[in-house]
Amino acid sequence: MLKIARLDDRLVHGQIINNWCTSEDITEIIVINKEVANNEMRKTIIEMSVPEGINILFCDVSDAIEIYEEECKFESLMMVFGNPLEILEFIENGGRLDSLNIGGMSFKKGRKKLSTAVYVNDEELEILKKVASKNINLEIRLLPTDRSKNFLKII
Amino acid sequence: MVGIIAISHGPFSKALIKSVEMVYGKQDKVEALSLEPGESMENLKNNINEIIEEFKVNEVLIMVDLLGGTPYNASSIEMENSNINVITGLNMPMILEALLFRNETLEKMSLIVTEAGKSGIVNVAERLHNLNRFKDN
Repeated sequence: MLKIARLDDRLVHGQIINNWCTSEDITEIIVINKEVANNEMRKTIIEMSVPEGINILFCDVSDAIEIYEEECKFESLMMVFGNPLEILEFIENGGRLDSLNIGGMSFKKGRKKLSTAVYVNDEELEILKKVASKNINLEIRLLPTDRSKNFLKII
Repeated sequence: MVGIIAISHGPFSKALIKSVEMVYGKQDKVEALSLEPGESMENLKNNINEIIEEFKVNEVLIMVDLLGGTPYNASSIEMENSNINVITGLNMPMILEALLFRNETLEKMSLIVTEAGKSGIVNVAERLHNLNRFKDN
């Protein structure tokens, strides 16, 4: 089953490997990010760091839409998106999500603070609002033990 | 001389270098970087690159706190440049050994530092137990 769909522009890192994967008993991570799916070095570096017993796949949005339902049948799945646009593309092209965990958007020029470790620019905010309007529950939560904040109540 | 960079989530690496310098004094071409909450991988990469440029050395050893963390992800990308290596599991024995062997090649220094990091971890109760058994025999 799909345990968690997460937006995190650092993709797979300490918080995910050492915390979310354990608390949610994750057996497979799908990273949905075209840029990294096409970067062998980045993929290898992440693959090397994933603990034994957890599969990791990298794909773009259209491949993700093709495979995710099948993976959900057999795996305890986590999907990690690197940016809001690819989430919107995912749901506008047939992908289904009930909820989305916003787990980290780094500070960059042009981005404004939404919450601790979550920064978005105007365009990204509009895209996330669109995602929320598709009946998807958006929560901001970095770690499993953090209090969940409702995205719509914060903006 | 191999340049040394320690990187961690938060203040660990900076404090560690301070602790090491308490014992060994101020060190040349040894720097620490902290990944702050909300900091991007790109920003950390830029900071790493700045330090490497300032070092003006041929080889750099980067030690990071955690396999799989953002410091690991950001610095491992630098290994596209063959004069840079990354070791995970940063601890004090690693830094101390790195300072002793930084005039070796990066490859040899990396082997020594990795071994020092591992052998610095000792379960004292277990070691005592083994010692006592040895005495009994």
